[in-house]
Amino acid sequence: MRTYIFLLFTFLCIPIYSQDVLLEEEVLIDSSDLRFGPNGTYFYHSLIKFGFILGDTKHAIKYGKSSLISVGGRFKRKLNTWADVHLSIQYVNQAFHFNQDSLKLFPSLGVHEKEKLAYHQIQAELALRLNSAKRGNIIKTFLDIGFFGSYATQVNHLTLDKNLVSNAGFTETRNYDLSYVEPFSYGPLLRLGYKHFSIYGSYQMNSFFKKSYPISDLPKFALGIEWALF
Amino acid sequence: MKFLSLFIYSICLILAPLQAREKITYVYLKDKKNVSFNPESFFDAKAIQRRKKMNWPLYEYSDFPVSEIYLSQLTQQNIKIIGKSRWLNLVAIEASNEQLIWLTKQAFVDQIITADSTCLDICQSSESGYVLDPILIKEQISHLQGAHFNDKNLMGKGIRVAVFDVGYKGLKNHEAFKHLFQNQLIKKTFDFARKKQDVYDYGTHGTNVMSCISGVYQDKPLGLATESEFLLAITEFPKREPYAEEIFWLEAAEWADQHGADIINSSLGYTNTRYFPKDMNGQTSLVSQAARMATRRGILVINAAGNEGDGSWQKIGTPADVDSVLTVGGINPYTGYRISFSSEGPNMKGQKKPNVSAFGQAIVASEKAYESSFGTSFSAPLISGFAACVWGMDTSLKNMDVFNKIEQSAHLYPYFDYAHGYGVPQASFFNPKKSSARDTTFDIKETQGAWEIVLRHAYFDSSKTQKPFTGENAGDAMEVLQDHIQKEGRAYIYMHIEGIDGILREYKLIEAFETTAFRIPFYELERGETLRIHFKGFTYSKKL
Repeated sequence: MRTYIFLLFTFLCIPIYSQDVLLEEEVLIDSSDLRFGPNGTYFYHSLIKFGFILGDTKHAIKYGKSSLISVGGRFKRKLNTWADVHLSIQYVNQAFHFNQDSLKLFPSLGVHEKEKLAYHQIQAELALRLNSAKRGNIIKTFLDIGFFGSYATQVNHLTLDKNLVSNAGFTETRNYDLSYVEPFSYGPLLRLGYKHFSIYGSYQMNSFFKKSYPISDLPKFALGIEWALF
Repeated sequence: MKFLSLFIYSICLILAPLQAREKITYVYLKDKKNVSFNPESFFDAKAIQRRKKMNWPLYEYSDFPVSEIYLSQLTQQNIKIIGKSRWLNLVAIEASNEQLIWLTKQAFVDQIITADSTCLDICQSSESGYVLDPILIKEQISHLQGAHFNDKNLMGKGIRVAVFDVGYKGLKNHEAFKHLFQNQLIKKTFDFARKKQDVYDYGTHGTNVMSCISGVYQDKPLGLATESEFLLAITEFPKREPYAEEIFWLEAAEWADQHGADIINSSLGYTNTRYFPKDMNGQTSLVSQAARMATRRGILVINAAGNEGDGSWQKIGTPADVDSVLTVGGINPYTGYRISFSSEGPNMKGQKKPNVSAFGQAIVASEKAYESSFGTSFSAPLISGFAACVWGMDTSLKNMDVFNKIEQSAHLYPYFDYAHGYGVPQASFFNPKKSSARDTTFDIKETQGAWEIVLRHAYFDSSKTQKPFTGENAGDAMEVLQDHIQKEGRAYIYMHIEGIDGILREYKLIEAFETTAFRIPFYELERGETLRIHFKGFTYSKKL
């Protein structure tokens, strides 16, 4: 009986078609917004960014591993045939990894297996784009000159240590609400791109730490690539 | 500062593509100073005949050549001439800023327009490598009912077709075109990109296209115009899209006119690398102006709709956007309706595009063999072959007469939509014995606030109403073939709503699985709008 009920239920769940729409177009909706497009008056797209932290510092930074990754969206408004203004909102995950030796003083005095400062930031960018594509609804070569402002919603100091006493492997420690961290940051940025890809460089003008804490600064340059998704 | 060096190096890498950049300038001249012109010696006899038929004067000012005096003044200034047009009295040049300033001061210059011309990769228009499907070979001709022409020995004889493409590699020695060389049907060739006569190199796209007009595979025609005469022109560079190509197209159109072409087949189009969608109005691009000039002189211009249907552009390109150009969309041979990549209309003036459709997948001659290829590039030449046969029946017809007759012969006519145009032209339309009356295949009933579409049993085969095979991947050959055979019995219902302005507001293609196919609520139609429904040759029209 259960089998019959199951089969009946299955049968009732199968959709019964009397027609199938093979093709459907609403013409006016499709062709109404002629100003929208990569080289149109308005455009928006999402983006992914990856970059490395660069620059001088007194801290034992692991270059190459210290990096940032970002996802977000960008809105564009065309000013004229060769210039646009762009506003981007992004989430940025920036991590500074530290080499471990007994001489280091920051972020902690002890030696760990691994140690990093991880910033979770919301970032806004405003940029002027100089665009080589005068005609056609495509983006060709462009140069962006802009400014960014970020707010770190959370900064974590993370350490990883081997458990010497027990056989429990590793212990990860997360220190947060770090009083010495300056949550706001800002600085200029430059982007040079072709079609969907660009190379960007940015420089943080203010210190990573509050003035009341005499900590020498972290490297302030970032260099990476950006992929505009459209 | 190592990172700075790395950044600068990266910038140089990104800027590298710009080194291939040209700056093309169109210089429109005020007059044609000291120009002598003898149309009798300049034009081919067929061109003169066509002009007489069109009542187009032999001594038309726009046919006079560009003034040599002005050209020599440009060359004296070391200005590089890319091309010139007698129709538009225009010279396309590459010039420095100083030379452009000099030009602005010259009395003979009417207007200077500079076009940004960055070289870009061209989109691949076709894919190849599929097994040759014997049914596709047969259907390539039979979907146009080509046998009706063949039975009357109509193979485009006496009609001269100019083909504009990227190159004709392999065409000269290919068995598919042996008959053209044996019968000396290739009358002229010219490579406008390189300014020389040899065109049998640089790319096989032109060879593919030619096979859809007049190719032969194992004594079976791949195109309908196996007895037409041909003018072969190269107007494109492979793998890049400089603006100069539009000048080459214009020059080729003038050359085709001079040498008596009746039809121009252009499986080319220009879209987002140069234009915005709003420019697809049949007027803005240089190539659209060239196409209009050619049609005014009596040439039937047939252009592929484009392969942007499933891309971000979606719409037709240019010169397919010109109202007097016969724009050809692509049909999927295995489903019988629009192939997914075929670009859609209308043009930006709301004019009907594409005009008709043909297979968007075809068996074509490659450099040394045959292959199955995709693209509206092959839909257009199939219709060019068809047009040559229609025109061959009655050479007194003018180009727009042939244009209109081809539209009227299409299987959906008078129904129209922006995916299929009027549908696939049918050769049986030109059979004088065939009745023009179309049977009523369905009824419309008014019930409870809606129109109900009920198919007549005589035209509805319930045994062939399984869900359709998409056919795009063509993975299983047997499934494809079986599906192909069953396509004919399917209940495809076409429906559109036309606005007061004559532009379609909405269109649909529905496959019905029951005789009570579907309902359209009254509220879907506004006052003044027209509803049209097409099913198996019968079109119902209702204006509210």
